[in-house]
Amino acid sequence: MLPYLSKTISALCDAIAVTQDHRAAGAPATSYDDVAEFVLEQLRKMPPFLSWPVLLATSAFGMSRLLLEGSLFYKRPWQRRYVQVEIWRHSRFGPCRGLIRFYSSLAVLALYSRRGTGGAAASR
Amino acid sequence: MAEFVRCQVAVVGSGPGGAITAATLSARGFDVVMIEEGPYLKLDSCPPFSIEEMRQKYRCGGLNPALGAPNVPLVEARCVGGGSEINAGLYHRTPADILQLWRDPFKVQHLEETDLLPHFEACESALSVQLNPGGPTAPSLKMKIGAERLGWKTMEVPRWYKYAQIEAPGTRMTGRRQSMTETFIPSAQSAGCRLVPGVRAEKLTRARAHWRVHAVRQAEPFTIDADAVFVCCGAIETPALLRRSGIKKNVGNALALSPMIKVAAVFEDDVNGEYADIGAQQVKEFSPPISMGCSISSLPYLALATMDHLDGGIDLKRLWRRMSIYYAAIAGPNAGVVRNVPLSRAPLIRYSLRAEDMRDLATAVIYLCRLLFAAGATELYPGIAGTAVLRSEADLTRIPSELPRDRTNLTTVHLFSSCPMGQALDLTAVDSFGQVHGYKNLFVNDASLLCTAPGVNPQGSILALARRNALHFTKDL
Repeated sequence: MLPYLSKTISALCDAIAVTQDHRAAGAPATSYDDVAEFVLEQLRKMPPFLSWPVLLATSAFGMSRLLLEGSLFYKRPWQRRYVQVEIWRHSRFGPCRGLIRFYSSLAVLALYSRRGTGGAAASR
Repeated sequence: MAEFVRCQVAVVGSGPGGAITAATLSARGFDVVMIEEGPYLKLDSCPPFSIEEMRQKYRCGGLNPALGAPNVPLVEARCVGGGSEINAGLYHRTPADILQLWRDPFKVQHLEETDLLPHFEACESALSVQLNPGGPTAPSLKMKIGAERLGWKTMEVPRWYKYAQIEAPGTRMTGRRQSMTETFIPSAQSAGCRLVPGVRAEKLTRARAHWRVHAVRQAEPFTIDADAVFVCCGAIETPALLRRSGIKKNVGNALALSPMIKVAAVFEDDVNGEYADIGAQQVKEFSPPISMGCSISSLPYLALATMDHLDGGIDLKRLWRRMSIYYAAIAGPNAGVVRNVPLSRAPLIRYSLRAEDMRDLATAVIYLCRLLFAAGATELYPGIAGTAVLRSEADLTRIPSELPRDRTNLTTVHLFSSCPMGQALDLTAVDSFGQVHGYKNLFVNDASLLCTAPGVNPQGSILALARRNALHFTKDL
């Protein structure tokens, strides 16, 4: 995967995790590298006919608002990343919403699966 | 290094269909080789329903949904034991009305309840199918109370589970869930079956009097010559393998699944905890097509279920012990297709829900919400993005009569019917005992056989049919 894409995905996971973390028990984390690592790992397992469109859309996401912001998504401060995630989350364009929902689902699963988040470990 | 194996029977896939086929045939003296694409992992190699399980045991990491409007995320296993290693072990016999439906118009022969009874009994004994002797779990109890208050038919479903002795009334039941790696796979191996994990079947060809399985292990050719082949790779991979082998008539054209929508409920008292078990209570008042039951309610799943309601500001930190997730499902139509895609090992799955299915799902979720309010829920979070939190029955008018395709979050774990069985040649891919029409000694023996969605947890049906077909093959029926 291109470094640009993995940096964009990591930054996107960070932005999603920060907004979600207040709901989990325990203190908010300072790093969400494990969340991004899980999302990247799952992406690599997707069939190519699905992962390519996702990566293409991610690439567009990473470059959108470039002229307005003057920088790529992953280089922006957290607050401005958050704004862009929210714009895409509430977009009138279904694929934009779908992209954020896709990453949010994986990031939320990873975030709430951390040890010490106080959740139920389902038994068989 | 290329490998070559000769045997009487090759079984491709080690899920419930493959495992019971291998165990049945090995026990009757057949020389059986069973291959499995995934690794051989113990049942407890990872916590159940965890992201570690997704990593270890899910095919495509759980990310190959049925594409349509809406997409339906689905879960398939890729490990020895298949789906039995990752599910809850809930067990039903095939309902009589479903067997009737399969006998006509699909013309499946020898499919009366009495024909299947010995197979159900044998599977239930081997898998320790039983009700929870400790009584219903807290989420189950809520469902039971809600149904009883509304006068709806409800039942506790047995599971394949070996429970430990009860130490005192009200103590948490312990025990061990059963699966193929706990039962039929060791039985098959001790009867002489050779199990080879990490082998992916690419294609089947006919070579004179026998079948050849062209497979790959660690990028090296792995070839099996067998007198007969049983394809048991599940409702997605079985049609994909047959189609790669040029066998296409009625193969992968009628995939059925049970789309479900989830609702997270908040109660006034605790229903969840560190060792929360999945509830086995189900409501069958509207079945078919609608059924309702309890779902996995660990914190990651609660977070996922309430994610689209973030604006509602649910405080999971404070509330998760009072929360549980439930599902409403419909028996979906045979409206899916499975197709191979160039340069991809995973097939493409398409599934189209009709307007009437979206209406049935809306009705199902409204019924479920009514039941949960009757059970004492104070807040409900249905899987419809952008819907406000529901706080009373009056709020149910906010749920549209036909669920919106772009905002409805569906999922499924039950897939079937991609190679339906029967003697009706225009509708079916295999005969009444799983032999592919026109291909002697090539069998399908898994969830693909089921003619339609059974409307209940399908593994009892899959196991009984697979055992019946394996015994028919030995002429020992």
